[in-house]
Amino acid sequence: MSALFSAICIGMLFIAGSDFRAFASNDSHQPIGPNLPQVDITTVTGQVVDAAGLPVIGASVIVKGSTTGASTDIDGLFTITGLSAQKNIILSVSYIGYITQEVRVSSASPVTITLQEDTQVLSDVVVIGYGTEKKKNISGAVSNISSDELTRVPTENMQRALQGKVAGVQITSASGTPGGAVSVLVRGSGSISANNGPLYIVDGVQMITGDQTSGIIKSTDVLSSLNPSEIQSIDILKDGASASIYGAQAANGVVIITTKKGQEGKNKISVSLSGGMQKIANKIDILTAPQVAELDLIAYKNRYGESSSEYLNKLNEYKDNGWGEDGFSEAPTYDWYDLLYRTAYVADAQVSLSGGTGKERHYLSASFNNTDGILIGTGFQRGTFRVNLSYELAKWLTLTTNNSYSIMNQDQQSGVRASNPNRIAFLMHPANSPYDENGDYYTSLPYGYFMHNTVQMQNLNEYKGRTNKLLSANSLDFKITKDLTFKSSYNIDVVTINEHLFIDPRTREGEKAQGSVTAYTKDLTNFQTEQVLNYSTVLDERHRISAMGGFSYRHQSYQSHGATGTGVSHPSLHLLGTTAIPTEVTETFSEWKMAGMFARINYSFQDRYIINATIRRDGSSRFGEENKWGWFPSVSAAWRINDEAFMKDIAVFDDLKLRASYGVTGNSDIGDYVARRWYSSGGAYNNSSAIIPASIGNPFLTWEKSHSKNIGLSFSILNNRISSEMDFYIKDTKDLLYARTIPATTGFTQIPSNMGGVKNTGFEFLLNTVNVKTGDWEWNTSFNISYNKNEITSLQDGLSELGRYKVGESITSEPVYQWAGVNEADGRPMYYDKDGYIVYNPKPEDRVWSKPREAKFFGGLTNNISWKGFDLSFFFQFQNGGVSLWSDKITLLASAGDSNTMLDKYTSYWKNPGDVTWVPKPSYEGAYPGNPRGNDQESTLHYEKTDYIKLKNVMLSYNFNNKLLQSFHIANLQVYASAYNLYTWTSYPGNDPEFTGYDTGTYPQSRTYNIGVKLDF
Amino acid sequence: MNRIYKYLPALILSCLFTTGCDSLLDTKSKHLLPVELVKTESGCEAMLLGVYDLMQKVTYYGRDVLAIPEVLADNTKLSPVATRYKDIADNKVGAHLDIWTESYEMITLLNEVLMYLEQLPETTKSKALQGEALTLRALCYTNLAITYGREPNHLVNDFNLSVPMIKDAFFYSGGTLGEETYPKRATVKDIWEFIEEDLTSGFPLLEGNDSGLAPKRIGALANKALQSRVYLFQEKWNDSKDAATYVIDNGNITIYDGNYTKVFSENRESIFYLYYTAAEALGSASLHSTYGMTDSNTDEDGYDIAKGSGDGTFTIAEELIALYDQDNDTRFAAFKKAKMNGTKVWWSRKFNSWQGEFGQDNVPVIRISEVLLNRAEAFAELKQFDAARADVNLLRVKRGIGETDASDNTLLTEVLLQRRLELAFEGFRFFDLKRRGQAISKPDGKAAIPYTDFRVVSKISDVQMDANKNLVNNPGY
Repeated sequence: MSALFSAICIGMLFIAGSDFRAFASNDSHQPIGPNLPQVDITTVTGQVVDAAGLPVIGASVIVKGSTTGASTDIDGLFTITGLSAQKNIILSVSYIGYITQEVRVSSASPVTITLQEDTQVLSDVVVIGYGTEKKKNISGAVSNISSDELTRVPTENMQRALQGKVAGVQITSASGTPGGAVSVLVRGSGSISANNGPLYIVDGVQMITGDQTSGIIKSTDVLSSLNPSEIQSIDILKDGASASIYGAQAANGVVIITTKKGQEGKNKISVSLSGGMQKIANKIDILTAPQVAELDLIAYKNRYGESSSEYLNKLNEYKDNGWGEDGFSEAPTYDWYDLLYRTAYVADAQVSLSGGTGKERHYLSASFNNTDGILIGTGFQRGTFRVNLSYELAKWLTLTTNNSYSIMNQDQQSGVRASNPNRIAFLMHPANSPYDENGDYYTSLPYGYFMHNTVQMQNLNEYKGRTNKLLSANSLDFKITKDLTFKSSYNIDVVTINEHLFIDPRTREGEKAQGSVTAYTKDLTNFQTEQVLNYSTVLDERHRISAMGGFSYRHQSYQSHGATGTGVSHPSLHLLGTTAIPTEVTETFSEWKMAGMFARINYSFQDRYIINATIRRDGSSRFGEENKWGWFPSVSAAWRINDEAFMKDIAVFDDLKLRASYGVTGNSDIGDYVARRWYSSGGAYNNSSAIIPASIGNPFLTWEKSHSKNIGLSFSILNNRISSEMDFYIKDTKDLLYARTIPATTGFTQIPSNMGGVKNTGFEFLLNTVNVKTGDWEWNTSFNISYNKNEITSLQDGLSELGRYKVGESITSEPVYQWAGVNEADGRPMYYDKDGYIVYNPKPEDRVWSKPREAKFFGGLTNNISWKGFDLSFFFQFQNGGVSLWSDKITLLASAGDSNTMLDKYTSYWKNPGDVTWVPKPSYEGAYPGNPRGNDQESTLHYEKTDYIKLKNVMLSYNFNNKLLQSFHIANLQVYASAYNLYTWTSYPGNDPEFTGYDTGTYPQSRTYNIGVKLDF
Repeated sequence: MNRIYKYLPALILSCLFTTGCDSLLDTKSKHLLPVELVKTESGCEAMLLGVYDLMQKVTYYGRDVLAIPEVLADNTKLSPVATRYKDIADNKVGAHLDIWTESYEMITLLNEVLMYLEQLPETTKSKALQGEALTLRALCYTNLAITYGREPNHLVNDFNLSVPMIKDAFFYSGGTLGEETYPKRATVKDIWEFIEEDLTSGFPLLEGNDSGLAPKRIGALANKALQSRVYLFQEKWNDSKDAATYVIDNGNITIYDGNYTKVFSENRESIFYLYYTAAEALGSASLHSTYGMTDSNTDEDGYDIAKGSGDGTFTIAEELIALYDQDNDTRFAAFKKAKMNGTKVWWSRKFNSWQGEFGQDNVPVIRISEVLLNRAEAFAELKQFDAARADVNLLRVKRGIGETDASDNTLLTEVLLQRRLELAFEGFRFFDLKRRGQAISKPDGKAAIPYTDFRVVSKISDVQMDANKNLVNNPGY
């Protein structure tokens, strides 16, 4: 099948190639001279060209006031004969996408008419797969974000800048970590085990994304190395039909990023500087040390009795601690939030140079960003360099090279549960000070469960990561004829990650082995080549036809090595070579390859009826021998209703378009070797190499396939004062890639498989309005809201339940025990069984499925108000309908008295029969008669709503008057002040309702204040 | 010029297509082996080493299999700084030894080895490997059977299910998973018969053919020693006695009478132990870290101030301390006193990072003292009191506490007491109570757990119950 496909591609190429004619020379056509003697005209000849001097084919040339006319031929030439003799005539020249032009002809010489592109229309160009398309001709669901909107948000991360701006795209910061991971879901999660993130394409290169580290760095994304200021626009292909041209990688949508390019004209230099500070946005209400100790003594008393040795020992222990005669009231309190978090500073500097001459365009930029983390010892630094060049080697050949290099440094923290400072901040027994009486660090803290001194660890240890990324996108564009172009591109994306872990021998973790050093290096190489042929023509002025066909190949591999040494000779020596004992050496290699052939055909009639069809055939090395190749077709159509004759009288519409599409996309984002049975020889016994099975394999393993349907309506009314887009979609994903849990009696716990299905159904609504536009005042509003419902449609082998998944529930729902509150009579924790009766020891079958973790509704609201040079914008972001496990609440509710707890546990615990409260009677280790399940064992009690409205961004800027600036040779000067994550309305009791996963030790979100200046020369 | 560039795109495209599509997708692995490369005799041996490697894990012999049975019963209690095993110390519902996944990973690997060995030409080496694999499989099933089921003579309410009996390796070639993927639990009787069968068919393959294996790997002696243990669990006293006698008579391993810690630091009594290299040291997850801490300073009363490395999860129960002859018993001399958060405690030094690195200890799985005590118990049960007394006195003398003149029924009590004192902290205590149908006594005045209590048998985890609907959990869970 693939051979046939390639034959067609080659065939197309030769037909097109043999048909072409060399560029007609335009120079032979003289312009109309003003001094030529006037003659009677009976024949008009000439050529229609575009601004670049290239012939415009199929343009209509009509003699004004008559029906006589002609169309231009393949060289843009036309001839009108048989005119009644006139001194001068007026020609009306029109062509789709160009401004209609009237030309006066008063000589018999051939005329050259240059048509200007209709920039009104061209400004709305959208980047689609392997090409561009005017927004008004889009038949799928594509969102476009400009650089203006991106740079308004003061964040180092491009994905965060997109948050809340795009309907149907749910963007969530995994944590407040600077440069940390961000989850981007385009129209819901379609996959259980494979990646749910979209495919990112920067200047045509499919990027290495995500967290590629060994885990020393806890939260990162290669994409954080991208400088948001270098981005010209971001286009998100949301529906299956638009994304389908990227086949097996497109099931989660495609994000196409276009970087800034030079424009013809004088060199423009831009400088932008900003600085700011950030603070922790929210803290959890916890207890003081006397409260923790008092509660613990009550818990001992309640469990063992007032005269028991357990209680008296505990009381004496606390008295011996010097916490007073009652054992608690004089305990000193140390605020670990204050000890661990700080006011952190942020600085950003950008400089760019852009310009171009007739044949050459250039854009060069450099930037530096330093974002200190609010957690002590953490931070993010990034330097970027970019050189984008294009050069017209010949009229028919343009060379383009877009290159960027970036270095990103991240300092993070221990991710071990017992020493993760982001948990310690609220779980640490508050009687602990990190410093002893001499002001030195405690190695092990004296009180309670959490003995790691995280203040010391953050100051002495190193949790470093450095990401170097080189991206080079190179292409040769052949202009074979005006209609036929060929693009041959060769891209490389190289990422090197160096991680360094230093555990100081003076810390509790380090003292066991006198400190340790781990170094880890990973090199990722992603090579791609694409050969794309593009053909487009307009027939009879009404039929616009374009076709595209191509081939793509990608080879990605990585090699990594790491080593650990223990026995640090001196705390100031941080390198591997200075350790005494090498303990572990690893090296890994992995690769995958993908080849694809694709084609698209697009037909539009009078720009009114638009039909698009694409097909892609992809093969991936990751899949089973039997299932390596797959087909990905799509079809879409649009009807621009306001161009219909019957709409002529309805003047209110500037645009009205109905869109419908269907497409198949795939997801192949799984491990490189999971489809085969493999044995690992990584282990050893008695100094000999040992072999154990590493993976079970599955020769039939294949893509996840998403079948997406989209129906959309776009309109704009009242001179574009109000414009709106709405889309309804169903994305049906089948053959989910899933590491299915199998009985351990097989010797394996999981098997890679394709099974069942997930359906995402949703609705997106976008509304842009110009509320006020009078004189100096302008007020714009943009609002978007999205709804998405995720539902498992089937599981393997017709099962209705499998592990934590159930047909009809969301993939983020999970079985959980039902908390029933506290027995009013005796203060014991209670649960519901499956029939709704109160029980104390619920069984697994009593679990119910939790509400979905993902939000049902989400969106954003932006307002821009400008007056003279002032510009004020404020942006709200919201989500509603998600419920998530707050994992740290489980620990916070433990009754061991050895860590801090929620304020409610102290203020509202059950005291007397009849008390109605959610906090059980304190009892040491949660022991009650009948041994019930404790409230510190996972149940619905630990699930919280994650609804929020955030005032995410406020920015006030002022653009100085140009005249004043010109005397300093400044073209533009803007000063601004902004705030990020200013306020959150939420009922979520943890640090912040925005997180991914289960909220355990999540780096808190910060509130940022910035000031900045932008200068253009 | 025109002519050349006209064909350039076509050339590029046709070059790409002629390379052929499928070969474009060939990838290789540099760190994994395909199945063809392990189906050899040396591959089989490496896979057997893989089983030992898996046994070394913290969740198996590396820690849990030795530590949990001690705190489930009464030899150890949690220290004031303990963070691990709290639920297990309280015998909370579902808190127990859980070795299901680890065991079957080893069992199926052994099944695979046995399958390949069957297909390979028979050599003396392959016979030894087969014997070793069968014995290892019996060991795995023994640990499973005593954890998830009751013993044949001590069923409760006639509930007679043990663990699924898996005899074959598992391969997947696509499609729906067959019934063999979802096995039912075999009966207690069948599992113990299967264990006996593996041991008795493994023994002749190893006898005289196991040079170089023991004690770091399983040899003929370990097979017989394990037999004596397996018969003891089934209360087949005669068989147990015979197997033990073989070990005592044919091995040149004797009860060591020197410094008791050398039994562990120098493996003086080991019939089979797991060897750990420095790189395999388990650090703070190790048995040393669980049973105490590394040495730090000593206060004026001679107590370690407990500031060394290690979690110090367990301390020795006072009730156990009281049972030792503190003046003469070399085993008591191996204990160490410490003060943790002001509380005076005792630590065991059986595991003391003896091999150098923090947490680097060899783990004794079968040693001669156990075999001797197996036989003493069997003799006592068989009313051969003189023989039983001779065995227990042999041990007593070596431990410095002289001979006992106990007889008749008090002799069995003495044997069981010496067993508790000798094998403390090595993972026997809970199972020694359970196999005899006795209540699980607890330290610190906590109420004993009656033998019939459902918590005496481990729970099959929710994950496994969810994954295999053919499983029935133990009553009460």
